[in-house]
Amino acid sequence: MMPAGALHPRTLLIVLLAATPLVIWLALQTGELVMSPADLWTPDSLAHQVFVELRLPRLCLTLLAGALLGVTGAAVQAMFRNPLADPSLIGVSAGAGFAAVAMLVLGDAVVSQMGAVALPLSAFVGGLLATGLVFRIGRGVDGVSVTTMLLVGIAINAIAASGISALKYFSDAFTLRQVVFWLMGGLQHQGWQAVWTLMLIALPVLVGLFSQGRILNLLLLGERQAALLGVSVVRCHRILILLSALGVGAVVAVGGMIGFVGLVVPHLVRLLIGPDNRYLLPLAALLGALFLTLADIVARVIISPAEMPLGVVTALVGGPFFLMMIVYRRRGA
Amino acid sequence: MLNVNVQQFCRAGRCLLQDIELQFAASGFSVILGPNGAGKSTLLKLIAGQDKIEQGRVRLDGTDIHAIDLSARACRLAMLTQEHPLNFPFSVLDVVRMGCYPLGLSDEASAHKAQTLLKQMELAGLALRNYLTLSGGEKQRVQMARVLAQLGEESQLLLLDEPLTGMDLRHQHLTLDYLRQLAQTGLRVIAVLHDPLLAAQYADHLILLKQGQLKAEGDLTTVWNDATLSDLYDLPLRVSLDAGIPRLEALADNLFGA
Repeated sequence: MMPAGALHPRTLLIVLLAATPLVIWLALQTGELVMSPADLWTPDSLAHQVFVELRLPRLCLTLLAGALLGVTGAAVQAMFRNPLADPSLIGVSAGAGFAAVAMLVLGDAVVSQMGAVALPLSAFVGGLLATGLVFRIGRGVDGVSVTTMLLVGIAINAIAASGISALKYFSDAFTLRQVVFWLMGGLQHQGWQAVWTLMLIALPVLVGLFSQGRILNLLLLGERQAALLGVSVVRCHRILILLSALGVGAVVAVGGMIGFVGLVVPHLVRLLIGPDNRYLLPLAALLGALFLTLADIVARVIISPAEMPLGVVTALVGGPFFLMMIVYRRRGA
Repeated sequence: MLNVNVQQFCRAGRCLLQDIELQFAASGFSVILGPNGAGKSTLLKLIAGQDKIEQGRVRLDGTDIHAIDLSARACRLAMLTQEHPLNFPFSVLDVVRMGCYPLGLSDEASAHKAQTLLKQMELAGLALRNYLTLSGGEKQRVQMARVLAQLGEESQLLLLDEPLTGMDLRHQHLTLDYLRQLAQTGLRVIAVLHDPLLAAQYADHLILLKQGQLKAEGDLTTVWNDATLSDLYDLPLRVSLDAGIPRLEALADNLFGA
């Protein structure tokens, strides 16, 4: 089994905070155009334009999306009492994705009415339905069993995938291209508007989930045990499902399918500092932000001058990691 | 003062408990005895307010247990459940500290309290160990310490569902002795046990349940006789009470009427 965590949370916080400027600098530097600090102060230069209109919003997006994926992963794992839970594996991302594609393909009228909110909103609703479904079906006395959870996840992923295929079939060439690229996951074609949308959702989700750390610890004791300690379990589950679906939905709406971040990041933090959610949630958000930013840098350079979709990079890292976890658990059992 | 009145409690078409009427004074050590499936755990759950009774009521100082909100209830009532589904690698100390949650203690105070209880349960050396790596009996003692950590000034009830599971003989007696001391300080302890002899040695009130019904209740003088106990377990038993020391012997020779 995993050790209870040898590193003090404060130490990890300091290390991650120290790494942050480095990652930010790297992200801002990566690209065709090499810029010097002097360029940034010349408003009319190309470098200034690239910086303000491309690299800076992209950095903000990877930081925000990474933080959201990290923290929702940790929250979902605690709620399901299962370290293998991840929004992309259990079908939350797929549910959100399906709803968002439906909005892209069918919702022209709605989009023109509601504008930028339409996509995140539908993704949120899709994510909410998927989370509720997995939780309802998979929940047992000992939490949500890995098998049931993954099976329900497979079912939801399959339903969402076939739904998306059907929608693709009926969409015109332009929408089809839009859907295909969006599904691969990436944050390169978004501007400041996406940043503001994501920030608007990220703030309440992050603050809300951070405040649940202690309660999540008690839920890990078991639902009955938590209730005996005075936790209103049903209310707590509602809040957690709502906030997680909101966070995942927002990321999916802005960046498409970016899987495995919510699995890998909380797991690494837990290995380092132990499972205490009071520290795990904020540190998973911070590491998630850095991890996704680094993954985005890799996506930019690995087949330069072309770009790899971000979702492909995270899946290339996360897939094998997930397999390793399963093997490790089997040996441990 | 605790009043338990269960006219009928059914789940999934089966009546688990019926015609149970019990009164508990503020302090004392009660033990519920009975064969498997007699409804012992169900009764504890009902007392803790974890299930709604259609016909009947549980009242703590005259107030319906369901009318006391969860956080206030957690200050007045602590319970050790039979299962412990915790499967994340918390340290032993952290698990015990979670018990302090309803009391709203500071970090230092809860750490101090947890350490004291770990010492009480003879677990002080394991404080920083990963809970998941402990043996079954050790885990049980940790959970026991966690539930004891929940006790505070307002505590009235301590419910324990098979608290001795997995414990060695020394820790069984240590635990029961500690519970008996607690029960003399204004706390009502109600435990489900499987060993009538241990119950007779430590408890001052025995409750005998069989097939969801109350067979007998009272102190040793009322329930400690061959007929009552043999009937309870469907097993020929010979019991005695010499100079206040309870003894019990299973008459294994003619067990199944061979």
